[in-house]
Amino acid sequence: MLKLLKNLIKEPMFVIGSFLFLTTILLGLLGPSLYTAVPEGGPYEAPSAAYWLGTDNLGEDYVALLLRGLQNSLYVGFMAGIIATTIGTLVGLFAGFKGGIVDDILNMFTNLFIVIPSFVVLVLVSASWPEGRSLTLIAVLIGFTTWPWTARSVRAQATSLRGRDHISLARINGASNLQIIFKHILPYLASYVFMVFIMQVASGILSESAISMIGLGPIGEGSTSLGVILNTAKNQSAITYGYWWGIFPAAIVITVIVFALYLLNNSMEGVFNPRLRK
Amino acid sequence: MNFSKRIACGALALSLVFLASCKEEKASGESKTSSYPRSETLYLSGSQWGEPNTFNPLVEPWLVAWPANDRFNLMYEPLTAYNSLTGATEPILGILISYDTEKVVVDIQPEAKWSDGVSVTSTDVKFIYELGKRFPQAPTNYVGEFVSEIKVDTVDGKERMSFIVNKAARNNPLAILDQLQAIRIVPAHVFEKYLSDSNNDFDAVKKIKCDKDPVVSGPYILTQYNNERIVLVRRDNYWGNKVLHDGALPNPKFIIHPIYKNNDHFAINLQKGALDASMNYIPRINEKKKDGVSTWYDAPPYFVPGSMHFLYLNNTKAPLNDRNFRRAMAAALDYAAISRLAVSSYTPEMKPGLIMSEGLEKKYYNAEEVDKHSVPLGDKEFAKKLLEKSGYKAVFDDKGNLKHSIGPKGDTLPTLLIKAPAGWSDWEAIVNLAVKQLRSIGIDVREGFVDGSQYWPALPTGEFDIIMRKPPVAVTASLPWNRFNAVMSSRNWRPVGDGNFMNENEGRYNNPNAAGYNKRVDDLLDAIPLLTDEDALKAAYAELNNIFLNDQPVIPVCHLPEEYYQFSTKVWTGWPTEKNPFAPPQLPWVGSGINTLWRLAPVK
Repeated sequence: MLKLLKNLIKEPMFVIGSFLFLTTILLGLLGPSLYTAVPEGGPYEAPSAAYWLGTDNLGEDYVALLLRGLQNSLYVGFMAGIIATTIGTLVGLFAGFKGGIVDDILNMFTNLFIVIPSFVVLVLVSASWPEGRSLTLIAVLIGFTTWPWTARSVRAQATSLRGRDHISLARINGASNLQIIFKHILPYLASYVFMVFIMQVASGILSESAISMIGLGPIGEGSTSLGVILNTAKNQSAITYGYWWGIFPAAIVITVIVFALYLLNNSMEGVFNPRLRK
Repeated sequence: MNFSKRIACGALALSLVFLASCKEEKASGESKTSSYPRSETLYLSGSQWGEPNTFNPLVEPWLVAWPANDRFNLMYEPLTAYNSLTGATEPILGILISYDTEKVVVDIQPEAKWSDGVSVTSTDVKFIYELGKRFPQAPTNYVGEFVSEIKVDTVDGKERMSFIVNKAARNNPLAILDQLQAIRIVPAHVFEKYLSDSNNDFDAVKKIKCDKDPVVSGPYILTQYNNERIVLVRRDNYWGNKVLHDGALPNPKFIIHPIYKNNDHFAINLQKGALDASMNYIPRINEKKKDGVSTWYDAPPYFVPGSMHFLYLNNTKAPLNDRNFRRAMAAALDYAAISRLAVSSYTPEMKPGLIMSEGLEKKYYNAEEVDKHSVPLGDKEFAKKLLEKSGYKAVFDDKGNLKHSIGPKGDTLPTLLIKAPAGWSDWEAIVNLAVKQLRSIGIDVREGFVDGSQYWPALPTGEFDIIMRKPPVAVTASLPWNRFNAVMSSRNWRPVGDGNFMNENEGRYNNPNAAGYNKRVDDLLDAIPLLTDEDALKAAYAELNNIFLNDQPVIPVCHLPEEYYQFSTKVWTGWPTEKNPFAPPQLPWVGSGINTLWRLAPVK
């Protein structure tokens, strides 16, 4: 484990990625409570000493909005990532390990969900919840529509493990299916599942932004997410009017988080995957 | 690996959504092969959103394409036009001769002709006015409630028509005056033939599109249309050029209504000079000045206020059925912030009540009475005290956010949702601010942005707590009476619930079957249209406004123009403005705003 970590730290990609990611997490966690918002200004005031990143259409300071947005987007991303990874991993493990009819049925379900365009489902369900869509609801929706990819790749890995000797040994020793899955298969996949989780978080953040962008995002006090900021800017014709500060900071923050997660994932793959190991 | 692909897909989807939502539309009128020279073509937009279906003026107005729908005077003309600047009723097909509580008298212009050469006569007028008697589904079926009979005499070689007020029904000559402008006259000889060809099957006649060589009386006629634009061409032998405009022709040879999908396109195309005028809400218009986009006034409020936008309150639901609760809400809102942040300062300083303190209504505005009866606007302390006095309490968490409110009986009050159509950015901003302001004094409200398909049906059935609403009150001769009527009349009061439609007073104020019914409201609403004495009229309006201020059935949040009027001087000049008010602040297609067409000049 320690050796792995040492190897990881040698990877510049990992260092950059984790630095960016930790910074965003810290900003998201602590920012909103540390940065006490400045009083309301006029609509779309340009960046100045008083408002570092200007104000939005309602005169609210963009720095405060971005920090809150970051916090909420991370919350949605992690929540969605946890849900999608848990469901996907469980389904994948059982399908891969059990094989046979269980595999066929679970596989059918997975494929069914893959065929249904998840974004469309997301849009339809969000739209049918006109009142009080909370951040948690959006996260759960995203989690429940994005798990099939995890399930598929975990299943492939689990299948390849099924025939290994140590599994057969465990079975001869009378271990139950659950024991085998969680004690003898999952640990082998842990690094892989972790990488999958990171990507699910990234895709959760992106999905939330996309769904908020078209006006189906979270509603309610304090539920400003990065996507909601972009949506407001879009609705207020920020581009037409040249209010770059309404769009670019939020877009850059989204890009940075997703990029950081991508770097993390890629660098881990290089270390964890023996075939890619240098 | 799959996930990288998925991330890439996600990022791509996000950027596509973003690009799609803010892409600039190519100005459809600018193509080089266009047969409509820019210097002879006037581009106006804001009335047609989807593909044009039909140009048949007998179809329900909301299904008909511009300019055969609504109040546009370009193809089919009304008898008269109302000038919202002067209050005058100006002649078009007819000349208003007199108006009293018994009848409205109009002379038909003897020179008026249809485009096929047939004269416009009282037969045409009677055809459309009395169509409801023959076919109950006709769009003018409401006329019978107001006009009991139309008499025709000949005076000095002119046909003189007397519209007799229907005393037994609505008894409202003011509404007849409005109808002179609202009802456009259609050629009876053409539509009678359609009717006899189809054995008087009205629905069959409605299926005729009237898009090929329609017979019209107006200065322009439809020549081409598709899902991107509607093109009208000038009729050089328009009868009104000689009679109404000293023989001059309107300057634009073509009028094109480009059909845009998105509100942004109006701002972009105006700025580029691809659109000459539009009637849409464009935020922060002052920032467009440098691109040659102008408005009536050079300074805020930029537009002439004409209509009030309201928060309609469901007067049958607790706690909104409590007068003091409603008054506290009216006091708590920060109207200056709403004006500055939500509607780009397009509203003048808010005065309480249903009578505007400027423009033609000013003569009925009594500042003393208003101050006596109104709550102070924008006074949070007053609102808090009023709530406290009435037994309301609020529970805040340690961060200062409202948790819930408690009513006078100790019950936790429900969270009230403010409904507004999603995507209407100005209304959304108003609701956002109202929620913030109301929650800060302990009123538990939330945003409820819904799809249009959920917004519109909620109004007539009353299925809302609070809803943003602009009542369909046109700027006509009957203001402010029609505003009071739209907000306070309980003539058609129906309980909230399915199938119970109310098209005025949707907040269900003043239930006529309840113990507290105030009959004076409906009596005043009935009496005002019959008053001709100015002092009596002022007294009646003051009394009605005082009742409104005391009961506060709805909350006016801003005074915006009835129709936005913004124009570009890149291609056409000579638009009416505050400094050159030869026509009212309207696009040159409705009311007496149409006179602008004869004054516009192409930039050389």
